Amino acid sequence: MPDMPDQFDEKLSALLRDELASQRGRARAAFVAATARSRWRIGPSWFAAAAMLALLIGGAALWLNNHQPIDNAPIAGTNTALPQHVEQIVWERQLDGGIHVINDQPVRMIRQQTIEHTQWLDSDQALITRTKPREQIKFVVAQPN
Amino acid sequence: MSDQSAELVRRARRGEAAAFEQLITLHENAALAVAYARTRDAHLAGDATQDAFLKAWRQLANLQDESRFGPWLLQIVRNAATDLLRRQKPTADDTALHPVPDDQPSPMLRLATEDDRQRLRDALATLDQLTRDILIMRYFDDRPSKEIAALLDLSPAAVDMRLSRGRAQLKTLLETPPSSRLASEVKSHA
Repeated sequence: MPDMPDQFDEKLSALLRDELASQRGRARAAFVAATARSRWRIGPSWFAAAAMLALLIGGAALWLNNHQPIDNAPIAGTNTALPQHVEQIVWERQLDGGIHVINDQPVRMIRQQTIEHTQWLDSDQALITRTKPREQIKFVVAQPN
Repeated sequence: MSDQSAELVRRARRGEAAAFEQLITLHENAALAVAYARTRDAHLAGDATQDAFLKAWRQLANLQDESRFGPWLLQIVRNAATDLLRRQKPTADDTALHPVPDDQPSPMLRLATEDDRQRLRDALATLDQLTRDILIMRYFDDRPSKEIAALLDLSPAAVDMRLSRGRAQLKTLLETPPSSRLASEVKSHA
């Protein structure tokens, strides 16, 4: 600037610095807060991924359930103490879902419900409990009376 | 500075939030100056600057030339300030409520100082928008003419010319006693 600085320049600088000093750093703080929030926001793609994962886990559980050897199948009301302080209780029941017609064929619906209650101690000796409800629906060809 | 900004923009575009934080540090004063030149209110200027940086982060992919982050950002700041002013409801004039530091020796001197400051604010408001941008960038941030020129798409000579004219205009306004200014305004309206 060609003009020599004087009292006017000092006054103008002081005015602007006094007024705007309190606003410095606000933008950065707001940006940090906004990016921290968005890191935890769950978008539609996360929901899709979570749904896919749930389907895979469900499918795997169903496959395992159908491929268990008969001898190892849990018995209703059995309390089985397994090594490493594992306890597993399985309740199982079958409900009659009534007669349905599929492809002109009368079938009986059987709802097989299971609740699997498992407890174990982790490496820190904390007691972990997991309860897993499950339902399978089977159709059996109805025998004529 | 534009080289440094360009590199930071490249890193920020890859999702590096820390690089964008550095861009904020580099450009915050210029953004505050431009916002204040429009809003004439420090708090609103802070709001506009904050909104503008968040918008810039979201729209960083739209920036064509990475070396022109500064001018691009300042345009977003101008738009944010205009939007805020549009949304702002009219309120009572609170110019008498500006905080006055307590280290002044006497109430009379305090009044005189605040009166001086208000006259400076009023004088700044009479300048055209571009000259006000330039003066506030220089006096708030000590930014050299070359950098101001790059941010505002002007030549350094044009920046110096506007600085000189704006400063002279402000000094004339401030050296004129309020009573004679009022008299000349009444005369011009008659």
